[in-house]
Amino acid sequence: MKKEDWDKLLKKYLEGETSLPEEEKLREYFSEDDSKETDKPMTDIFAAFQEMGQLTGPEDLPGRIDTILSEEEYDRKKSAPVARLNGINLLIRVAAVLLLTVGGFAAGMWYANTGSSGKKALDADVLSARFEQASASERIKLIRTEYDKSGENSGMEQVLIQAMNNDDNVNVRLAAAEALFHFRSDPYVRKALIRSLANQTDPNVQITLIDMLVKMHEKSAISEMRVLLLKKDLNPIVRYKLENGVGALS
Amino acid sequence: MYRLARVLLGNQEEAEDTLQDVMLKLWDKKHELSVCRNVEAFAVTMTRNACLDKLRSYRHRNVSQLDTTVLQPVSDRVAPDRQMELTETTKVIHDILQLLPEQQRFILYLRDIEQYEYDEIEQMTGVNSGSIRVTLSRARKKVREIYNRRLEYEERRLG
Repeated sequence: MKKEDWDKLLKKYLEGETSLPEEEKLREYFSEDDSKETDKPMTDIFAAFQEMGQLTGPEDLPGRIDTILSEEEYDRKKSAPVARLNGINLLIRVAAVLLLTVGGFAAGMWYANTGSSGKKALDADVLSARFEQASASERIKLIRTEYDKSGENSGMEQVLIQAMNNDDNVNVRLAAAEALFHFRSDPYVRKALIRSLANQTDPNVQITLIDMLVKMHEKSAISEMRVLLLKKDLNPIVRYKLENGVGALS
Repeated sequence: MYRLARVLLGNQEEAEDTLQDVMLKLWDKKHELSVCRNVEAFAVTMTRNACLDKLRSYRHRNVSQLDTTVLQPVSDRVAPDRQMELTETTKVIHDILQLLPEQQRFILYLRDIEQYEYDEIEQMTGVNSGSIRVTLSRARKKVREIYNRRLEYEERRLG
């Protein structure tokens, strides 16, 4: 087929008018020879689609599902219909509910009287402990649910700053940075976000931080941005974002 | 199903979680599946709906679902340097797909990645063949246009 015919077929493809065999021909044509005068974007796009088509799910997924299913069966057995409550049984249960309610109320009063600093430290400690035991996806979930629940100065900021700066997983660092953005009125958090920019190595986290600092109109971030711009191996998109950021904040 | 979740959500961990949820739901519905006309289409639709729920919850909570995990190279028939380039290109195209409206992304995925026939796509989307072609055309042109612009930008930067 001549080049013009391929161009016609490509046009037909872009119009959504090709059949599957025609699309297969196009895929083959664009994958055959890199040196031939082809359409570079389409060569890359077809190759990328082919790669995506070969992507497989996690190998351990069937095992994970089996485990959950066996637990689910267990749960179902556990939650099988209970025997009808007889009189004494019912009385004991009502008494237990009352005891728990009164006890809970008393505990709540005592807890409130211990002061907010105690609660703050406790919340942060609990979150830290949960963090240590959690997988990366669980840590992200924790971050997203905890910042929703916590108010400013709840002690969560320190845990989130720690995660943003030191977590091994880049998605967790990203989620922590996004959660911290909600505490941006706190000067301590603002400083932590600026300082973190110099420490981050992943372009996505860097870009997220730059966007946040620009949104916060944080002029004191300019010097950190300029320092980062001096790096020779900087990702081009990060460089572009930084240049725009410095421009916007200056 | 995993590939669909990955393309729609743009995030590996969320795709894995969603797939797990869908598989469990399918297990719960195993008795209904025997009367289902097209189990594959049913599973694809279920995965899509689960992904949409997840995307809505992101928007609701204003959470970004940026994926920073590089798509793993899977071809063993290309040279390592070409494979690296291919992996990078695939990541870029994958990111561009995230910029498309959900319907365009879904239809493009079904046709260009999974190579379904139009009547099968009709079954999975409930959209007629004419509209599928229009949506697909828009999606293909958009991906090409964005990728083109990106290549031009890279060329300018590298001088």
